[in-house]
Amino acid sequence: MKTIIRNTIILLALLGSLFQVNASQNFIYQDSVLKGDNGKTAKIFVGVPVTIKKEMGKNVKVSIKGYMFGDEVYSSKTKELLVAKVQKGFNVNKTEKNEVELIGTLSKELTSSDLLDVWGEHEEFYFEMCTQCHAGPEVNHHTMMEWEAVFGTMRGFAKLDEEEASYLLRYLKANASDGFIKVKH
Amino acid sequence: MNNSRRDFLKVGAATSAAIVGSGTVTGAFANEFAKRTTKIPSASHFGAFYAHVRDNKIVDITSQLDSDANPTVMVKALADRNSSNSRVKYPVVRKSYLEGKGRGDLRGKEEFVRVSWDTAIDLVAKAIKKAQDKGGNEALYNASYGGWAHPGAFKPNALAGRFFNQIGGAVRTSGEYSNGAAGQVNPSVVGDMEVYSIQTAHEQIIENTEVMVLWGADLYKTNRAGYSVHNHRCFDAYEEYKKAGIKVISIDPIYTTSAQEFKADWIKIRPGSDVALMLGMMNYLYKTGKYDKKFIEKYTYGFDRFLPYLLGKEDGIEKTPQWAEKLTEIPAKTIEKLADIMVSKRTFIAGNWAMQRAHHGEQVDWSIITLASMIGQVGLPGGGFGFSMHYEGGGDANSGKNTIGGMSQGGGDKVRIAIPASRMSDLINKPGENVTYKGKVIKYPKVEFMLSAGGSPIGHQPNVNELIEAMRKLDTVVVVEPWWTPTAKMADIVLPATTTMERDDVAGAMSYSADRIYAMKKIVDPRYESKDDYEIFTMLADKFGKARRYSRGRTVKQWLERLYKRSTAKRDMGISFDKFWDMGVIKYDIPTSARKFVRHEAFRKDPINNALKTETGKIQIFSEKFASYGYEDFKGHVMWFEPAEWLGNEELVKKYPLHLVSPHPTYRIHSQLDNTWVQNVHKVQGREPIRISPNDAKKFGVKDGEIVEVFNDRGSLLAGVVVTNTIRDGVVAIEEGAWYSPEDAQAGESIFGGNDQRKVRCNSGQVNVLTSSRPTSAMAQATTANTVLVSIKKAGTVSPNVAYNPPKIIGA
Repeated sequence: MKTIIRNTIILLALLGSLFQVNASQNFIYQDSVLKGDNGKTAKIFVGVPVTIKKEMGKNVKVSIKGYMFGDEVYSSKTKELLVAKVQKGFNVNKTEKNEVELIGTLSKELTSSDLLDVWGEHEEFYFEMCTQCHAGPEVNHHTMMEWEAVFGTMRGFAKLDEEEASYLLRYLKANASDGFIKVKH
Repeated sequence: MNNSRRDFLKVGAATSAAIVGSGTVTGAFANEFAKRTTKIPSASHFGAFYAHVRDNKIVDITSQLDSDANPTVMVKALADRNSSNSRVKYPVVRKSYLEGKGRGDLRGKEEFVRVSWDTAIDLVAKAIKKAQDKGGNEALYNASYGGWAHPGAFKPNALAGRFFNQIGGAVRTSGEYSNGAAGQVNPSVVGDMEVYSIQTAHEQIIENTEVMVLWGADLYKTNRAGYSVHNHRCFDAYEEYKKAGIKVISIDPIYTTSAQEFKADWIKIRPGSDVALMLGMMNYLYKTGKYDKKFIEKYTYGFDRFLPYLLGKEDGIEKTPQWAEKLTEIPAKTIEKLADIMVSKRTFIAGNWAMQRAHHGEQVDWSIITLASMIGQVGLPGGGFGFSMHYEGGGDANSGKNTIGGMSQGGGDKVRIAIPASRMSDLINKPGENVTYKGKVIKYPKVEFMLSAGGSPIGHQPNVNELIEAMRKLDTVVVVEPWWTPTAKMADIVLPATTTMERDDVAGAMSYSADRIYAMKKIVDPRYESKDDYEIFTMLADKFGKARRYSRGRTVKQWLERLYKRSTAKRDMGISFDKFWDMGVIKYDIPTSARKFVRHEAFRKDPINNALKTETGKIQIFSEKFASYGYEDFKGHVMWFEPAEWLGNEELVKKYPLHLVSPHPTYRIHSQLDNTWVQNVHKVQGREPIRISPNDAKKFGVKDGEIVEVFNDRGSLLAGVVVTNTIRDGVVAIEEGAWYSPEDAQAGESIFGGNDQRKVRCNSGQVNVLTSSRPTSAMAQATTANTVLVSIKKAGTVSPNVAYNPPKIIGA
C-alpha cells in the first residue's frame, strides 16, 4: 500500500486533473479540532483533505469542503465518509443545498501533504489483519461502497473489535477509488 | 501405526520386572506401552484430535470428542500422511536444471538430484535474482494461493507472500477458485459477499422453515471438512431438521448424500441450466401475480428494468416455464409446482458454490437472489436464501468472540498485478495480452519464475495439460511441500517442508461459530531433512538481506503469543498463553441471542437505517454499475446465456455425449489425503471413481468396477466405474482432487518436438485433465470447471497407478 500511496503521489503530480485534490493539497494527519472564527469548534477526522488558506506561524487557516447533514459533514451526498462534526454555532459557509465549506484554524503539525504520513499506520494494520488468508486487494481498486460490502463479510475472519473495524474501514474508504483521493482505473 | 519388533523387544526388557505385579505378560506390556505413550492435542481441517505418540511415532489418532461432535474417518488418516513414502525427504533439484542446461521441457519427466539446503536455497535465490534482472518483480509469480494447507497461523501461502513482499512483491492471485464468480457479483447485488457470511441459525431453520431447497448444496458432504477446524456439530442440527419435518427438495443432477439423508424430492436438472429454471419460475410467479409485489417495491431496485427481459420484450423470447422446460428438461408443470410451493410455504433456498463454477457463473447467485426477492421471504425467520449452509457448519450460532488469526503477508508489494484465480495458464502463455476483470483491464506480464507453497496448482487449475505445457515454458519452478504432489514433480527445485504435526502452531475455529482456539502442538520430530515453511522463507529472505524484516527477529512461539494476545481468551478472559497451551483448547460460550440470528432480518425490519451496502441501499435486481461495464456476456440484470459446453448443444453432444461434473471429494479436502489409506474406502482399482447411471453404463457398455478412459479434446484419464442410480442420465461425476499421474511420464509435448501432452492419459483420474480454463465471462474471469462434455470408452491395457511414488532421486 505504501507503493500505492507513493504512486498516487507521483500520479498526482503528473495527472493532477484526474484527482479531486490538487498538488498543494494537505490532509488531516490525525483526528483534530478545528477552531472557527467565533471560537466554536469542529472535530475533523483523519485523512480529510484540507486547503491551506493562510500560514499563521505554528497554525494554519484551512478550508474543508463537504456535505452537511445535521451537525455532521460528509465527503459525499450519500454520506459515505465522515469529514467533520461541528459544534453548535460553528460558522458554516453554505454554497448550494447542503454543500458546505468549513473554515478555521488548527496546528500546522496536524496536517501533512505526505499520504504515507497520514495512512502509514493504518496501512500496516490493514496488511497485518487482511493478508492472513489471502493477498491484500489493492485498496483503490474498490469503491467505498464495495469496501463496505466486502468488509462486512470479511471483518469476522480478521477478528476485529468495533474500534479496530471502524479504524480499518475508514482507511479503506478514504483510499478507495472514489474516496478522498479519486483515481481513475 | 504398527508397533515394530524393535519396540516390542525394548518394552520386553523394560517390563520384565512388571510381569510379576500385573499378573500376565500381556497386561505388563499394555501397562508399559500406556506409560510410554503420550497424548498430544492438535487440530486439522478434518477436526480436532489427539495424537498418541510413543517413541516419536504416532501410534493412533483419536478425536477430541468434546470439540468434534461427529468425527469422520479422515482424521484417522493423518498419521499415515505424516509417515507416507510420498514425503519429500531432502532438498532436490531437477538434473538438467542443476547442470545448468535448463530444459524446462523435461519437467515432470526427469530425475532429481539430492542437494544440501545451502545449495537449494542458493539456487532459488539466484533464480529469483535472474528473473528480477530480466523483467523486474513482474517476472516473479507467487502461485501459493489458498490457505487450505492447514488451519494454523503459519499458512504456507501467507509465508510465501510475506517473503515476496519483502523483496518487492510478485504477481499474485485475485479472487478465488471457490467463489470466483459469485464473490465478485454478490457484494454489488446484496451488499455482502454472502458466500462467507454468517447464516440464519439452525434453530431458526428448525423452528420456521417448511421447505428447504438444496439448490446444488450438499450440506452433509461438504461439511465433512472445513477451512478452519470443523466441529461437525451441524450434523446434529440436521437430525433436528429431519425431526422438524422440513420438506427438502434437491435440485441437482446428483442425488446427493444430503438428498438421501433428508429423503428429498429430486429435481434432476440438466447441468448448467439452473438460471433458465429460475427464470421460468420467475416468469410464472409474475404472470400469475403470485410474487410479492410489496417486497419488490420496498426492498429491491430495478425490477422494472429486468421485467422486459423476463417477458421477452427485449429479445422476443419470453422466459416461460415451457421455455425453461426445453433447456432444463424439467417439465413446465413441475417448474410451476416448484414455484407454487416455494411462494406459499416458508422456504429457505440453500445455494451452493459449484453452480457458479461454470460458464456464466456470475448469473447464478444473482438469479437466486432475484427469485428469492420475488418470493418475498428474505429476512424472515427460516426464509430467504443462504449461500454458505454447506460450508464451515453454516447455520452454527456465533460466539461473538475473537479466536485467533495468522501470520500476515505484510506490505511491500510493488508489482500490483493480481491475476484472477483460474487465469494461471493464460498468465504464462499470454504475456503482453490484456484481460478484462470487473470493469478494468489487466495486462499479463512476462513471468519467468514460479513458486508454489502449500498447494498444488496441478490439482486446482482447470485444464491440467494446458498448465503443464505452460509450466514447461518457465525459467524456474520452485515448490515448497511436505509431499511429492503432482506440482512438486513438475518443479526444478523442491524444498521439503514439515507437516503441521512436526511443529507448533495454533488455530481458531470455526469461521461462523468462532468458539474454539486450539493448540496445534508439535507431535513428532521433523522427518528426514524437512524444515518449517517459516524457517525456509526466512532463509530465503536472508539471501536478500531481509531475514530480520521477514521474521522481525521473532521465534515461532513469540509469534504465537503475539497472535494470541488479540483473542478474547487473553483480552477479556485473562487466560495466559502458557495456560492456554497447557489446556490445549479454549472454548467460548455461544450466547442464546445468537441462536435467534436471521440473515437480512435487520434490513427487512428497517431498510432505511439498515440499508444494504449497494448502489441504492436495496437489493440490486438491476445494477447500473454492472451495465456500465459494457460486456457482451455480463449485463445489468440476470440473463440466461447458453454455456459453451452442455447437453443442450446438439452438435457437441454427438462427439461428447456426457456432461461431467466434479464435485468436492467425500474423503479428501481437494487433493489432501489422496496419498493415504483412507482413499481405499472409495477408489476403484486405485483410480478415482466415475459415477454413471445404469442407463448410461449400458449405453456405453461399461460395468461396475472396471477401469474406463474418459476423454475430450483437452485430454483423457482413467477412472473406475461406479454404476449408481444416484446420478441422472447423461451426467457423470468425478470428484476433484486425485493426484495427477501421467500414464507414461516420458510422453507428452516437448518444445524440441514430440508427442502432444493431451495424448498422455492421467492414470489416476485427476478430473481437471478434462475441465476447461475458459473463464465465466469478461467480468469475473472465474473458473468454469463444471462446464465440461466428455465421452468414455474401454481403457484397454493399463499400467499401475504410481501417483504417490516419489520420482527417481540421484544421491538419496
